[in-house]
Amino acid sequence: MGKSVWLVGIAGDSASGKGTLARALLESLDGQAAWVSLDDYHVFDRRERKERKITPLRPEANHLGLMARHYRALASGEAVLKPVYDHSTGTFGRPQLFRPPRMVIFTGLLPFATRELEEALDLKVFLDTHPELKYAWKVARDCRTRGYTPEDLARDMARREPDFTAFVEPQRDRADLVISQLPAEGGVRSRLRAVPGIFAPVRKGFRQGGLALVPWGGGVVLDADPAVEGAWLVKAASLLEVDLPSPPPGVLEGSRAVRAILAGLLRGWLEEAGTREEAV
Amino acid sequence: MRDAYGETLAALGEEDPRLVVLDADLSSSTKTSVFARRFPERFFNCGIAEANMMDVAAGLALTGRTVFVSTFAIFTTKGWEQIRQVAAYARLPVKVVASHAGIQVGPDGGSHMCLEDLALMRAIPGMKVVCPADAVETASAVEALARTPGPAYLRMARSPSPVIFGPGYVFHLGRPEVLADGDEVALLATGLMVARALEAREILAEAGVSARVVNVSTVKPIDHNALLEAVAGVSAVVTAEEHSVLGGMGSAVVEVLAERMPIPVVRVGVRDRYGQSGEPEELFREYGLTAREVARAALEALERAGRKKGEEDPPGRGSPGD
Amino acid sequence: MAIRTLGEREELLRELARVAARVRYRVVEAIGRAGSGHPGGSLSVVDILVVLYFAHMRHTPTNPSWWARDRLVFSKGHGCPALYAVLAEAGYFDPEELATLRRFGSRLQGHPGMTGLPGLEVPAGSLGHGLSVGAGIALGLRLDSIPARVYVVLGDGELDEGQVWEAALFASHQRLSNLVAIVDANGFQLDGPTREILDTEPLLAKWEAFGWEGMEVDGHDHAALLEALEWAASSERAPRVIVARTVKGKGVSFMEGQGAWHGVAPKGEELEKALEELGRAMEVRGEGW
Repeated sequence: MGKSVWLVGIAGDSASGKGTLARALLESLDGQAAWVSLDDYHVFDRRERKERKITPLRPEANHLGLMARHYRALASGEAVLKPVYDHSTGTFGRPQLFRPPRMVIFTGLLPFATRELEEALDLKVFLDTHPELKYAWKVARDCRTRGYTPEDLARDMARREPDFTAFVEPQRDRADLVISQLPAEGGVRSRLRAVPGIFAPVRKGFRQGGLALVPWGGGVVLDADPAVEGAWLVKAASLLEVDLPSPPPGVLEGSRAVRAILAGLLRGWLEEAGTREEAV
Repeated sequence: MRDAYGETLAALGEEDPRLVVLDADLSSSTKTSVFARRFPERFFNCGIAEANMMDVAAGLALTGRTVFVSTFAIFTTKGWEQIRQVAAYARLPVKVVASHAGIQVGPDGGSHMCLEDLALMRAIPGMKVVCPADAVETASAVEALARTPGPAYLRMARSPSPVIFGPGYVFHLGRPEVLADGDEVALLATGLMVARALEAREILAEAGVSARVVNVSTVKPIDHNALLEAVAGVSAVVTAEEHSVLGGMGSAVVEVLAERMPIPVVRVGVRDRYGQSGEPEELFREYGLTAREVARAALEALERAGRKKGEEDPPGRGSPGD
Repeated sequence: MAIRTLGEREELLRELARVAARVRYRVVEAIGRAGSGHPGGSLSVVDILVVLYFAHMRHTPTNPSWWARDRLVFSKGHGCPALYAVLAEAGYFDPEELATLRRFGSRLQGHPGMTGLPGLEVPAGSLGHGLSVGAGIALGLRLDSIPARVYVVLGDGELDEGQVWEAALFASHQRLSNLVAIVDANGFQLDGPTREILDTEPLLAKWEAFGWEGMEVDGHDHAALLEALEWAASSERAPRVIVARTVKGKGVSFMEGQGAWHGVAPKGEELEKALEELGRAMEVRGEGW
């Protein structure tokens, strides 16, 4: 039957930018993808975590076994009954039947924390965001929508640190793509690192948001649009590493550039799969 | 005994705000009314519907609370299958506290005299069965059961019982306890029969027989080693209970002794009969549950012990009834 | 949010039909493999359970003992293969485990026991207990101010048990508006049609006389069940009952409406035929929509 549904996992700490990335990807994939937050697979709700003094970063606080079963079912195009965790109330809602479109993007703390999970995903992305940025983004989001105070958050982040190092961060070494986000003057400096071969399925070059990704010598390169002022470092090697400094005004911002690259990659997959289906 | 239960329950209710109590239209008799007055929102009168009450108790226990359920002993048996199928099967903290057990119910007659409850409850896997000797032990046992996980059955008498224990007494689940020493015969008693066994000890002393009295307030589980220790050194054993001799405390003790330390035993209890109306003392005499009967049983047991080696029972003698 | 859940009712109903078809297949397969069990009453209750777990109750398979979950008390214990299959399908445990039904050491006992099976709230098997247990849970939830509901699934034969009516009285007396009873009225009990053995009709009138609010639905019509459950869950005063008219053995042509299939497992050719029919139903539901 071949591949019916593509699965992408985006790992990263709370407020590392997973949602922003997922939303951007969805937008540029024209309704062919859906986004599932793996917070839905929390074992405990907020009250229970507090009582048990357990952070959601720990594997036992997430139903990794059910996640793996659902990955496999979704990959073969089957609908699943997905648990629902409601961030606004910190508790679970009515679970929902979910039938996957052609691609599902999972974001969470532990999307590929086990071999079982890793094996079911087609692409593993790790968002490596500097703590300063995480804090700033967390304050901006959680104090507004999840009812926390900045003091809560600072305490919470300190408490989570050991679990982050122990359980979330190790996924970086297993990722196909690592997106680093660092604080920089006037914005965010992003860096993209990919394992060899990950961009190989892209045959044709494509253009998106002032960037082009083209095949070159067995790998790919990131190419700046000629219309954009100031070309970014473009390097092609067995290991793709792109440094994207925070651009001057008027030029595409680093993190947006990374999103564009990733979206390009995923669209490439869907397009290719589409051609294959047509051929059959 | 019942008053002690009511008061203890109310005190426990103070301590544990999640504790709830159910009754089946007998709260003024079982004394759960004391709790009901103090905590009306945590007391549920289920009406004359015991089967439903036992399963409602299980449901409440499933929401993470300890549940005390009370009615007369005979009516708990209407909910026996419910206790067996849900509360006990699911190992829930449902504590059935039954009052008005045995023949001292008196004038109410045979329909109200439960002589089978210990046997029935003892047969349920995992069930703890307790039959305290007086008000002090009742209070302590109720407290202990509230803190012990899983289902339990506690049996109380209707009549006021003589006080045996001092105020500092602490009940230990499962452990038979020597109340008075003696080295020829051990009188193992439960519930109201403990006081009678102590009296029987006096009678025996007058006859020159040294009797030990052991309170077997936990009918299940019995600590085997503690039981063997409690009867160590004597030549014979008597069990005494205000219950059928079939399946109650006497049976429980005999089962252990037969396997671990065979010794002559005479069981005092109701011999496969129903109760009937009458004054408690009349009934105790009719059913052979007086101190004098216990003493007589001790002499009989000792006699058998003495004739043990090779001698046979004279023809035509034996325990009647079972 | 961007998640593409089946919010649209049409789409949801299509998916529920797919799930129900898969559950039926698993039920017959498991009973067939076990060599004994109760296919008739398991198949009649499938749609009720599918709609409850997949479209109505608030629960989470990630945390079966979540404090605020809606509770299901499955009182007609002999129909448990349907419950097991739905729980597995909903993610409580791996569907592979269904193959152990009724085997030694299995968490899937012939009638539900306390084996630590995730999602199973209460043991069952002896009829007549569930409504009382459900009432107790509902009372406990109310004492804790937990806004969850309790759903009790009963058989119509089970209503012969006097305890059900003690519980019905108790629940309405206590005004347990967070308690919902669902009667899987398939019209049969072991020895024959319920009307011939011990007639409990008219059902709705009896419940109403006991202080319940009730309605009757086609127990295989997912849309109707969904609506009835939404109605039942909106009660503020009294417990509510849904009398779901069902067909014993629903989904297997030669079992439908046949009392003889109450407690007999299909074997050999019959099993093959049943699975073939149910397999075809799955394909039709899967692709034909």
